[in-house]
Amino acid sequence: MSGFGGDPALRWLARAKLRGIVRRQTAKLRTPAGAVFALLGFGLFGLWGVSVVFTFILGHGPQLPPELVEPGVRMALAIMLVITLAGNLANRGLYLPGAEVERIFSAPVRRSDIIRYRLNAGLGRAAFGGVFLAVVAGVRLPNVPQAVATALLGVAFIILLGQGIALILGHVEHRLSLGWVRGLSKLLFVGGLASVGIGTWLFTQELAFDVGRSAEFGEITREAAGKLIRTNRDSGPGRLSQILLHPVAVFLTAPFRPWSELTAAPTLTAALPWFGLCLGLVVLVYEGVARLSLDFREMALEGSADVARRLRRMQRMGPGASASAISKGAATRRVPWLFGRGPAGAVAWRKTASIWRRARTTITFAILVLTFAVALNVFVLGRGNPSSRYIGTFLTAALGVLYLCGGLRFDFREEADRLAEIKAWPMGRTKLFTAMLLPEMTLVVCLLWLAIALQVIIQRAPHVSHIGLVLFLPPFVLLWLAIDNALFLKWPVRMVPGHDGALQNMGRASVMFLVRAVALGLVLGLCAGGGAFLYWRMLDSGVPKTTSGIAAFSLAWIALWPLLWVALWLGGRALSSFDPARDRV
Amino acid sequence: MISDENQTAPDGSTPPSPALALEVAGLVKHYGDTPAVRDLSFEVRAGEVLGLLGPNGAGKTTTLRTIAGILPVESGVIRVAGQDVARQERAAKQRLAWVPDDPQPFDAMTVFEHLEFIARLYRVEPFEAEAERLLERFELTAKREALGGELSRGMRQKLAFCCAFLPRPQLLLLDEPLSGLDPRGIRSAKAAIADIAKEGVAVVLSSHQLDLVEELATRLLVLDRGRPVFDGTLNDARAAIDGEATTERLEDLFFAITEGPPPSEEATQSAPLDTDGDGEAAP
Repeated sequence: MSGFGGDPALRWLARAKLRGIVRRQTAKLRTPAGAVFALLGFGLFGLWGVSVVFTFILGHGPQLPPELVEPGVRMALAIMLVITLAGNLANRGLYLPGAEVERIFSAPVRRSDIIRYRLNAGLGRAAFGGVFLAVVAGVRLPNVPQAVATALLGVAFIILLGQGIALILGHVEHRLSLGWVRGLSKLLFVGGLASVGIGTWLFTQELAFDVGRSAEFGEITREAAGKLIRTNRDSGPGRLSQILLHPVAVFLTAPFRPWSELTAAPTLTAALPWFGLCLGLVVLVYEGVARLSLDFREMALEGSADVARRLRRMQRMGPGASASAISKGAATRRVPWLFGRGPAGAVAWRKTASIWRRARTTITFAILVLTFAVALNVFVLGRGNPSSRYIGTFLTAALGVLYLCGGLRFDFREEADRLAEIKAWPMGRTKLFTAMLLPEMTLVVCLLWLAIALQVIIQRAPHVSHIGLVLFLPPFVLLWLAIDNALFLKWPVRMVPGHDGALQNMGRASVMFLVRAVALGLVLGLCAGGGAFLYWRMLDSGVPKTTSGIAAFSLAWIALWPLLWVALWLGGRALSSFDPARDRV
Repeated sequence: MISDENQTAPDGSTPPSPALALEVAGLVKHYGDTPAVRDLSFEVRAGEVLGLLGPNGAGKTTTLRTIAGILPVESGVIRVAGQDVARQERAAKQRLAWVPDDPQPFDAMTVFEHLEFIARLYRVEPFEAEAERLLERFELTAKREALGGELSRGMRQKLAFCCAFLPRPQLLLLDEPLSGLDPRGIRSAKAAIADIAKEGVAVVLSSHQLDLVEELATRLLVLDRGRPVFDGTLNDARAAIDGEATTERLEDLFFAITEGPPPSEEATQSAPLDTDGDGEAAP
């Protein structure tokens, strides 16, 4: 028996990998860009931490009422376990990185030690999440040391239990060739989605009361959040309390009682036995999982190959819907030629194929985003006065553009490994750049038009501004895509799982988002400025408000097109100067 | 078959040189401060197969990518069938085809849709019969409706060949074209390259497989650290190395050129084409 730490060679491997990560990070910090982005990322993370602590100290943040601490902790840990299990169901068995799996399996190492090695790696990876959770728990719960201990031991327990269940399920599936595990995985996913939907609905119900009354968005959210908390605290059990104290919830979350008792213990002395029990459970599960007498080699090989395939796809195409797999029957779906049959039409057709044949993921993602946006508008903002309804429609459109464009990614990110080939195509750079973005623009615009139409029908409140919004969306979406893709081609960095440098990525992502927002703001500012100038001049000249508004919008809309052309031209230049020889993943 | 063919006409006169398909003059390319290609000049005529050789990092792929318009021309001039790649980019690209070393077909399109896409992109009308013929030739007919993501490495390479051949280019750029192919695939690809060259297409073939280059190329261009160290026929290389055309294999010549004593000044300065096939450079 090798004990808690496992095989010495595997321990050495884990340390060597850690040293490698540190070495790569250090090398990144030596470059000016790497250092700046890491500093920015660290700064942002630090700011978040400071804001959490200060919000608590100043008493502005929502605090969990004392009577909800114990059931709240149990529920939080149970939800975390379900989320972890959903992930483990999708990756049944034991995952080992592709570079290690065959080498370790062919080495004279006990299987229990291989499991220990993975458990240690899982615990190491979860440590960051545990500390993160400990900070939140420490400031949100009454007893700081108890809360921190609960968070760290809770995360460890869930990670170990999840790995154990994944091993058992993988073994059962592999030995008995049962497809039900896959079905269960899907069921859990659908259940999770339904829970999110129900949670959102309950939340919007709580938020809905007086939102439309106020015109200022920050005030709206502060007031609504405050009301949610005060409602629960002042007028007996609110919705949150009702859910947490329900007998079914209490029964289902009972296994986490040691952790909730540890959190709620008033003194350190009172907490000690619960701490000991939690720690004992963690050790027990660790050794229990390590000693599972299962031959996991075949399923580990299959699972690791599957994960490696998915990672490769994400590394090639990024994390958007465009990276999702294509179903086997997809080839039978004929792809429509939406933009003519010339060279530009062919380029757009090629992109349409990707959207069309990955429709299941695309549509699921789009429906989720739009349902959320429409629900937010109808249930929250739509209950206020008419002007908040129009603001809501604009918010739906703006958030829809950001989320859909960011989540679909049927753009140049999907092509990062084929850009060399694309650059060899006999087409003008601006035309090529535009043709590549047209299908995604069309999809996003159609989906948003649908969302707007749905809202107008539900609220039975059509307004002239809706027509303006419908006309405004195509150039606006294309403009956002053009700016986004031009900047990607200029600084093509993909953030994918399996690569280290989270702080740099966070810093870089913030800077890039800021640059995009500034570029978009400049363009929209120019258009809106021209429109506003015309509006006030016409009002001063005695022209009626509606006529002035229509004229101002028309001017802004017309001004948007040449600016859009400039953005597309710049995108074409970025594509032309893109150097495929440099790997910037 | 490097330049062992007798190119003298039956009446003893030298036939007119085929049209220039590719002219590269004074090409320079840097990655940051690192020079990748330094003052590279060469020409390829219609029907000629130029073997582009060199150790790793010699600048072969950079040269091919610059000719294909994938990398901008930093300095120098590249003309494809008379069209300047920097100034008449689209016209130049219309006349060339490029097969990368690791083709990445689009996983959402079927094999035949790839060919349809290429036909529309390069305005090839009608394309169906030629597409079917290419699929047949490269043994992809059974995979006609398979998605790009379902293809093996070798099939991806074959599909890349089909896509490159379909627009009937005047210049074909091949970067390690046989990697991943099985023996049958290698045979059909080699035959296809030889056939397309016979039809008057100029081919630039970059490969580490020296036997392939020896078999197909009519001329060699050897690069080392971005510089041309030899440009001529296999017999020119033999003459440059030991002063007389002995029976050395291309592999031995390659190492002698890239690692041994530098070839004579004349050979380095673009040895003239061996037009009479006697192993001696034309005067």
